[in-house]
Amino acid sequence: MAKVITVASQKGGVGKTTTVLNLGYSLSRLGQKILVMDADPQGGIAIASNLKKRTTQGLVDILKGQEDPSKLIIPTKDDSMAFLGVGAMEPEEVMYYEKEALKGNLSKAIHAIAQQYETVLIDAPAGAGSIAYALLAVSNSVILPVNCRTMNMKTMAGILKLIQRVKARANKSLALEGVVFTMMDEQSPYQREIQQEILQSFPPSIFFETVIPYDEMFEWASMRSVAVGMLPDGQEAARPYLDLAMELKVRELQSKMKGASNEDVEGLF
Amino acid sequence: MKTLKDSSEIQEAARILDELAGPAAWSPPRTPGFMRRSAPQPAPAPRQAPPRPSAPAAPTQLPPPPPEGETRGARLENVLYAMCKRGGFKGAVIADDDGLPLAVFNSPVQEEAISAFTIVLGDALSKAAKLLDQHDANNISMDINYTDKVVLRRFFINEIPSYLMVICSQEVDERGEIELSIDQVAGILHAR
Repeated sequence: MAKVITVASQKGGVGKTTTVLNLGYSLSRLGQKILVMDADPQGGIAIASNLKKRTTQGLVDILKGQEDPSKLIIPTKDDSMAFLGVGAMEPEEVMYYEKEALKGNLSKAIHAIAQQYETVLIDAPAGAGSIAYALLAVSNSVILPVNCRTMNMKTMAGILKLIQRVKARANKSLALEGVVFTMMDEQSPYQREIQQEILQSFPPSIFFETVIPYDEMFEWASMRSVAVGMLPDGQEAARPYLDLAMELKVRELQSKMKGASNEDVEGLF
Repeated sequence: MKTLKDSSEIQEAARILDELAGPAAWSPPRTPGFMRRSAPQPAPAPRQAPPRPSAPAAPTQLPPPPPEGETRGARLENVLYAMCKRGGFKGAVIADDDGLPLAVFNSPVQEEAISAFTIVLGDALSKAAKLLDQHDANNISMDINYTDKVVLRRFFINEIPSYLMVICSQEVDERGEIELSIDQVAGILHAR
């Protein structure tokens, strides 16, 4: 059974697409069978990975019943990951996509596709609209990337309210995987102060210990349409996402052990 | 002066997060930092392994990096050097399926001996596939003394196996670095 993780945020430009691509790559390096799914009508993942070189079709075409999902899921050269784009969207297609999300058909389609993978990482559109709702309704957990800007922090309540709503109405088991600081400029006293205030305001357990620093190598990787870890010079920049992948796996193991006692342990076979 | 944490938006977010995280989630705030680590928790007395007769592993002292070069061997050696430096490994070797060393960095024994040993471990991996029915087994790790281990990672170039072997302290978690370096090694070997 796949674990579906949506990467979401209220505000755009916080590093959702970068997180999905690089976290997906790092998880695949740890041996996970990963599907990276672009559910944002902007098609950020398709651009960041140059998926359009292979296909411009995606989720919207699956929803229309025009294509078999297996034909649109594109494996990487080394077969360590697979990508599903959102599909090239004309304005009327975006409206159709939003309607399908409202009807629950987007959730159903994702649920069916996810079964063949260990982890599905979904790049959600910014905001708390119907698409984000549908994605959270079919997800096991959600990761919230935030960067240390006042506006970003002050709008965070919006996406949290959506998570609360989805938990209450559509998906009781949806979990907040964690909040990860992205594009952190360690040299900026302003950002450090914001980070400190946020850490003091929110429950500590919700934060990932890994902080993704600002690094121009991500821009280089973006120009080449690859994960930063694929660049020979990008190994240092890739390290935090590998740490984040490991932290994610540790959290997963810890949550599996939570509430279990020695008496609950069954045999290996 | 009103701070960010006093703003109604942040307080509302904090209230919702409190509800989402549950009552057990609150603990004293951690010290913020660039790479934060968990605040010290009162922990039970750590379990200790029986003492080992040798001294604990010292920080790895690497020889100087290999000279920059355009040949495939030089590029591979530079990848090995960078991997050893980042991961705190003592040495590394890449060998092909016939036991031919393609690149060696800081091997503790003769090149031929280490690459022959690579093939021995590679054979063990192949046998694991057959005997244990584990066809995806690509890693083997073996303690070679009280402090060090060798780790062999098999990878495939055009369906022909090649091997990356690393010598490092038993305390080192080598997997991440090896996985990151395999791509670079494979990229160089593919280009031949």
